[in-house]
Amino acid sequence: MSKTYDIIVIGGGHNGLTAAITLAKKNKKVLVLEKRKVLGGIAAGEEFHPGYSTSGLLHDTTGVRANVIKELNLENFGLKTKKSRPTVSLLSKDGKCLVLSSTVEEACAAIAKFSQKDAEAYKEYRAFIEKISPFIKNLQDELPPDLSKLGNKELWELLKKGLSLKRLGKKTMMEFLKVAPMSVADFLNEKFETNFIKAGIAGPAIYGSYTGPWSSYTTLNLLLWECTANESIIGGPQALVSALEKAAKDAGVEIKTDAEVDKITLDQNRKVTGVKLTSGEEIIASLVASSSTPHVTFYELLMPNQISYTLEHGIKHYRSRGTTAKVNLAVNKSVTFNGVSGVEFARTGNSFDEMERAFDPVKYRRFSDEPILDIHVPSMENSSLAPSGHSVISIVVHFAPHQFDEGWSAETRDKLLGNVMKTLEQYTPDIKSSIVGSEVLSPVDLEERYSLTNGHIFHGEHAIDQLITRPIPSCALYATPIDGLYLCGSGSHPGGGITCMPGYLGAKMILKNG
Amino acid sequence: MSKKYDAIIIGGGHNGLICAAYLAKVGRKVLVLEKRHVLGGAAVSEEMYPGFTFSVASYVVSLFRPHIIRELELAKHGYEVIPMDCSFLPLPDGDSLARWADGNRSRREIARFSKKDSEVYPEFSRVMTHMGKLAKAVIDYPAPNINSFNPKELANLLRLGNAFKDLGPDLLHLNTKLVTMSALDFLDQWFESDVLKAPMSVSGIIGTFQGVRSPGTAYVLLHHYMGQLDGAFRSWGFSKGGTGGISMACANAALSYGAEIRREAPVKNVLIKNGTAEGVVLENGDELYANTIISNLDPNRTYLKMIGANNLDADVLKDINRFKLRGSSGKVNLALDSVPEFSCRPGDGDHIRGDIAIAPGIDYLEKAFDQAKYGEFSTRPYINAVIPTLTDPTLAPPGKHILSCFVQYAPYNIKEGAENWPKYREAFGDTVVDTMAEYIPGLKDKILYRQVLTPWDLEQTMGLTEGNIFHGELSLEQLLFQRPVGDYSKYKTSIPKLWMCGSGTHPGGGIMGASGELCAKTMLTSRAI
Repeated sequence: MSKTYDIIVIGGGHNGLTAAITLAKKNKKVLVLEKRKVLGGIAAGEEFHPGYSTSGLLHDTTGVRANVIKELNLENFGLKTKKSRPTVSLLSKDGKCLVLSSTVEEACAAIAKFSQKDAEAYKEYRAFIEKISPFIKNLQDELPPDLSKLGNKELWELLKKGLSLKRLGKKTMMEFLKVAPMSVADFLNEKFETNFIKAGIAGPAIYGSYTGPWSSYTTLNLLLWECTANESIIGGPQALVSALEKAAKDAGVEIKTDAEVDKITLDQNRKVTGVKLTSGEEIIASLVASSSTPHVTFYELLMPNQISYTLEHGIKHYRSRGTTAKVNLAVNKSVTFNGVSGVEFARTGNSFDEMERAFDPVKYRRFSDEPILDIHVPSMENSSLAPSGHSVISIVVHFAPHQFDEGWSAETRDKLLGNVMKTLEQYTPDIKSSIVGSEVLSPVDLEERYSLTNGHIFHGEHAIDQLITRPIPSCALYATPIDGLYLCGSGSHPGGGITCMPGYLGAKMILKNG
Repeated sequence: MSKKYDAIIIGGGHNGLICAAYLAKVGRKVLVLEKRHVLGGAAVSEEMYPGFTFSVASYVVSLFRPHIIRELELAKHGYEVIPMDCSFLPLPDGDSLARWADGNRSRREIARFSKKDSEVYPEFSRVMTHMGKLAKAVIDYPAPNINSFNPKELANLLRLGNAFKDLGPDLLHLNTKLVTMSALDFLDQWFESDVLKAPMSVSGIIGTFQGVRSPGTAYVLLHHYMGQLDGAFRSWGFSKGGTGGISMACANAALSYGAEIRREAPVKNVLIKNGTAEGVVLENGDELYANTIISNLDPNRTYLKMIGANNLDADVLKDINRFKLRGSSGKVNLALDSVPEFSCRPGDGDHIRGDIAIAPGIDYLEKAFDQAKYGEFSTRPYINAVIPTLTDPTLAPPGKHILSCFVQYAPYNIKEGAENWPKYREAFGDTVVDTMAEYIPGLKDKILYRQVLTPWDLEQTMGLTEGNIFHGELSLEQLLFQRPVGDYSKYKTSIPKLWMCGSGTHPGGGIMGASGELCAKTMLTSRAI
């Protein structure tokens, strides 16, 4: 009845699959359990309206690490990448469009049409990113320091990180220390003058966050993204999921979909013995790696008496206030933004104040009339996602609160859609009449469909204290206080977004611990 | 006429006076130049209305370094601080919360709102006090230098490192949280009741341009817990004679050691010859010379007015232009005909002899901040009020009282432009009085005199650039070895022989005296004077 495995991976999202492959390649017997019928989690493309599909809930694949792609041999399984980030169009309300190319020279040339000063500033900005990248990559792509103990070994690791900062040289190091705690608005206001350009660049600083651009430390969030946004996956997140699935099967990973885990089972010594599914089936394994959120892992997959007060308290206060909604649109023609056609990625956000005003209402459990939109037109790259000549517009909407006074219902979802449409119309005027279908996912819907605690797309806020030790000090190196239980999802270092790193490093930790 | 001093100190605020005292004590010839007719800068007492002594700007003290009191014998010179016993929170629904120095009394009050919080409260106080002791390691020494391999600097870094290590992993993690989290998020991890979290979180935003939900504000919570009054932590107090009494005690100490102090002697700029400071020019044209010049003014004023942009390297100019001083507060001082009583807890009992917070909820506080972001003063502001006359009756005629209100938010950069603040001064004053009147019946009828200070007024009167009460925001990128600028964070400036001793240097603002003391001691140990 119950088969035995070395490791059970809970969750068949991109991190769970990455962890499984990494382990299987070292001859571990691995089983992946996915509650949904499809793999990929929020990287999975979905048909949201007959004939129209997205290539992922989230759009951004620029954070997928080249070394992981290489080590897992994903290119052998159909993955195609571009060694550069995609072109993004920054949109302004007064009809302007800045096509921000991935190459600095082209980007500067485009910016110069609006402001020569900003073109020079952008060049310097990208040069600064280059300079600090070795340090940031060291932070993000290595095992985090262990701050739960302060023995000589841990202090030595901390010192090494400090030295890698010093190696940037005094000027760059001091500049980094100066700007990292700043608000992204202050940081970019120092360098740039054109409002919609500044606001567009700042987008990644606040996507998925519980902050606006005037909040401290948002510059660090932006720098972390900029330094690790180096690739893009052709075909979007779904292409990554497909390659991961093939690689997993090739490595001997067993995958079960439509298999929801009810509980992680422990013996009387509180050591992992396996899992029990909602179907009642029990599966034996000496190790369990959960790519689900920390809240789900400790609060739903374990019994209250199985976790210590300290662990419970820590996870309870690990902040995951979802502030993102998703709107998918099926459109019966090709779309232009501010008159420009062929746009694949676009961002709105005419000024920092506009972005801040979009954020403010969530603190009062409401959403704003004018959200900030992170737009992807996946049908541009992959025409099979829509009927011939038609388009899919996939919009990540900032900000919409999980905790919402009016309550999420069909009516309030419609209201949100209305706000999104009103905003979108400023950039693509005749859109309304061309919409043949739509889907709105509130944070509550995201929570339900993808088991995202509070609908948080990153499995927990990217607040700085929650990046230094993620999710909490006792679990920061993927192992948890529960013997045999590991974390390997976005609720672990280095955080959320589609990167494969938590899964990869989590697996490495399991292998290291033998 | 061309008498040469060992040091001329520009600005007679408390840090400048303390610096003068330390230097004069060891025999240096020191001259302090104050532009106003009163000493003390923002720690000043003035009789704004006959018989009433206002602590015009700052109004309570806690962080004043005890060893300075001892070393300069300030008690002998009139320093006297009476501890405050209570933090009072009146609520619009007629309820109220008072937190006392007596922990048991606080617990009983808190338990009325949340039993769980009442049990956590003493533990929280204990932990914050412990963290406050660590903070001593940071504020009582010059900022660490992370760029130097000088053995003395390394020893300083090691000492600091050990102090942090001694915290142990749990408190070290707490420290990380304090530095990065918002005051509210930090408090959310301990407490459940808004009634408790609202007044506690606002101490994280005093003097800042941040809200209680803004990242980085938990640290400033600690700043206000770090105080030490005769050994009792987290004790705030009234200075006898108003906060000017502290400044006058420092001035008297300096005079007793032989320092010279001149009032109504505004300095126009520093005299720089061959790139080195050699004296000052007064507004009236007089030139005075000294071996060293020490500026007690904020970094913006020091570098751009005293030194002048044309005497600065491009790098230094860039750095100083990045130094942020966005003022966010105003002050309203009222002379009252009779004692102001709160309808939710009537009487002039000891519940209103401490500080009074108008902070009836988290949303209220955040809304107040949101308005300021877009260039408006808060329609319903956060107010921290005191009635010092209940503790120190010498401040007003018998039976009469002073209501001193510190107000946030009043952004210096209102959307109409800062220079238009005078047009809105009275409207701002009305807002504050209207808010207080919601809790104090009949307040308006008691008012004999009203003084309103907008950030613009703080700048014009006291030389606080953009009305920032701390000589510069206390955000992480402007603290420690980056205060005020990376290359010059140890009281020196980019001009040889020109030093800084005010709140724009480490360890930052508030009536601490640490900047003045550390500047003097740094100058003496480096034999600069």
